[in-house]
Amino acid sequence: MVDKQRVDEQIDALSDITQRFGEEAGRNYARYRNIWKISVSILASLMVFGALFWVSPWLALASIIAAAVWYLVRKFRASAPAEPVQNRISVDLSQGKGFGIAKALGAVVLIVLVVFAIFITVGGSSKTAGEGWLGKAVGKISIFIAKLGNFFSTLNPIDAWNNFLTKQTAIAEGRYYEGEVEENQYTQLGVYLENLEASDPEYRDGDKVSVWANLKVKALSTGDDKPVRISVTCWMDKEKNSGDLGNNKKILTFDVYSQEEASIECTFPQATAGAHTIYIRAEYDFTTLAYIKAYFMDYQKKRSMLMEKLDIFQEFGITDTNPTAVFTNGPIKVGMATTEAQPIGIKIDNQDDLSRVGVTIENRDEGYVMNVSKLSLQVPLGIKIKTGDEACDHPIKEVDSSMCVQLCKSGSIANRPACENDCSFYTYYELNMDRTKKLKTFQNVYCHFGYDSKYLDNLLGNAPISTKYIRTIVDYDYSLEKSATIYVQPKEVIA
Amino acid sequence: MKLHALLLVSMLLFGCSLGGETQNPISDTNYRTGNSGLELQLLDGAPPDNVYEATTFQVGLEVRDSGASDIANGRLVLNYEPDYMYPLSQQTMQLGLKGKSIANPDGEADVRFFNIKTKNLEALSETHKSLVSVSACYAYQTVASEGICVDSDIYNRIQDKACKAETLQLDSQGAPLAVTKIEPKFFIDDNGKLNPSFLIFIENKGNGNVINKNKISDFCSNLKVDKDDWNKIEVSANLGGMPLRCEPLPFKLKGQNDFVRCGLDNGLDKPEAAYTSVIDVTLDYGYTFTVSKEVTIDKLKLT
Repeated sequence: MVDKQRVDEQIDALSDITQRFGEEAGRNYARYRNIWKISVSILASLMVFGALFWVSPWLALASIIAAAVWYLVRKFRASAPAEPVQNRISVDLSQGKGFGIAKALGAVVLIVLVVFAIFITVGGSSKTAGEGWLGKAVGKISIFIAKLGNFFSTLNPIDAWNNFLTKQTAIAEGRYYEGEVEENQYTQLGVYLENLEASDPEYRDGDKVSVWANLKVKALSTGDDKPVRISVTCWMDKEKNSGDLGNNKKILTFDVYSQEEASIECTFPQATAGAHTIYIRAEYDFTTLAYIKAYFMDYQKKRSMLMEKLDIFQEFGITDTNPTAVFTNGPIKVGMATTEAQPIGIKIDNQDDLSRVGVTIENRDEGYVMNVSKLSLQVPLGIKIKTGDEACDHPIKEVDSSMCVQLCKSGSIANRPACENDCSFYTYYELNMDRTKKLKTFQNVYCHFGYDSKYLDNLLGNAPISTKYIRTIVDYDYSLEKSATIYVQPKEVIA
Repeated sequence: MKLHALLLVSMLLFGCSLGGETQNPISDTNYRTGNSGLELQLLDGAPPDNVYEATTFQVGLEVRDSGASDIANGRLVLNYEPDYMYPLSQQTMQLGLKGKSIANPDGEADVRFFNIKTKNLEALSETHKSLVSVSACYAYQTVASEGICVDSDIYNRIQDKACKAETLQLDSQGAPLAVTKIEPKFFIDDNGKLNPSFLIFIENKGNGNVINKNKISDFCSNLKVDKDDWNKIEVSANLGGMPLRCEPLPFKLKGQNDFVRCGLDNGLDKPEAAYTSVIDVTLDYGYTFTVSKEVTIDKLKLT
């Protein structure tokens, strides 16, 4: 009944257009309307297919078959002669070139989906797969499908959309702090799993299966003689089905002081026929340092220059007029920003003015941050973060200079005393982070800071404008995961 | 013998008469030209483009007084990033240089060095770009001395007179601050006296900023300065040895180009005929500018 009413409305609209603008216009209207409708239908079908496939390939196949049956039944019922419509100009809604193309396209998409779905479901079945071109094709398509399945299973559209919205909101509200990675002329810092691939191009049901990978580690010494500790594990399909990393070890542990490259082999005694995904995970602790430049000058001097319409940066030959945080290479990005306009004018007689320093920690590798074990802030003497409840969005405490002294150990021995002496020109704070929280996207931290009248000379230096740095050191545990998909041929084929 | 005598005569004749272009006597050279005062130039490679951590390097400066006045108690201040380097010598230097003169037509020059040592880079850092700059602050003087027509015939009724009161267009006086124009105005007061007044146009033609000459050290340090300390100039002028009263005082240059009005308070006895006198304008001020260079500090050894 509803369908009939809709068709009547369409015919009315078509008649109206034909009467007002002529038959050609009516034909065009019918053509473009059909193209639009069918395109929307194809797109919607593909989206539904993708979503169903994500849940189960079987469900996807069943849905396609159901859709085909429904279409045929509807077509059969529609083939009955329709009643003639009185007082209307008769124009066939299904005529025109556009309809033909769209129809053909729809048919091609349907066929591809059906073939696809058959391969998915049949690909994993050992009973029907055969050797030769068909067997190989089934194997390849099964691997492809399994990879596609993995892709869809990791791609959580709701989470992705939420993360996107959260980030855009943070950017709009000025709570997302940018940073750029330090120009690195040597090599990338961090842990990398590369060249993950199966040891054999073909496996048979019951074969021993193994995959290889190269583990590359590049770290710079943090001066405390603490190595980067890496734990490697591997599994097939499900995490409980762990593989052997050599000598019956399920976990392989490395301590790397600077750089190392190791070959990892993960073995499974036997595998059943079908497509399998093998995962290798490397968990390691790492440190990322970020710093942002801040210019300071006497408030009165800054004001007088602005009133004289002088460009302060130009007058002092400063080219980096909008300092961006720089962070060291590694799996996370650490962005920073201060809210005060640069250069920051310091009032000698008023230290109550508060500025804000914000830090953004963002995942930039293929894994995720398991937890942020420590977030330290190093500010020049003269800047003071009030350690009360309102100062930061995380609990904060002032700590001694041991962090700085420790970092001095990474430098030359001759320079160490001077470096350690310099440590007294900073104040150190540690933020209490939630250690149970995984970080797959980004997290913001901010603190308000004021000025300490006792040490304003340190902040202002002896020149008209001084350049100081605020630093953030983030210690964290990171989990990096890579996967490879293999296809195991069924046993019957060999027989 | 005859040949020798001929050569000697030839040398005397040609040696004296064919000396090339005609040279002005040294005493006629005008040193009060150009827009330079203190010139500060970083030496090539000092500071270098790249330097390793925990090593020393120099910031070398060629300083020259290319103007017509002397510099006494000038100040150079080194600006660096204390997180990444520290000076091995003092951060400030005093400066005293003689301006252009007969004895030194290019002005006195000197080379100064700041020795700096870089600190260790952060443990996780491989390279860092750091700005090194030197600011100069010094007191300077501009002197403009020009002949000007004192004419009581203010409505130009007399056709045949020695000179006419006209605007003087000037270019430079060997200093960053230049007197660019002197516009004379005459009127006769109720007592029949001739009152001359002059609009003196002043322009900052140098590469820096005019500052209060009494606060040189404040500008080249972290100390506060007031709005009124920028572009502050002490102007004095006299006409034929008689001091003129200039206003506004203290004079503050607005923008790069401004003018001051100077007049004779008591006026002159109305002269019978126009005559040329000399107007001397002296500007006393401070001047500041900065030169800078970015230095890349590299990690000495990647562990």
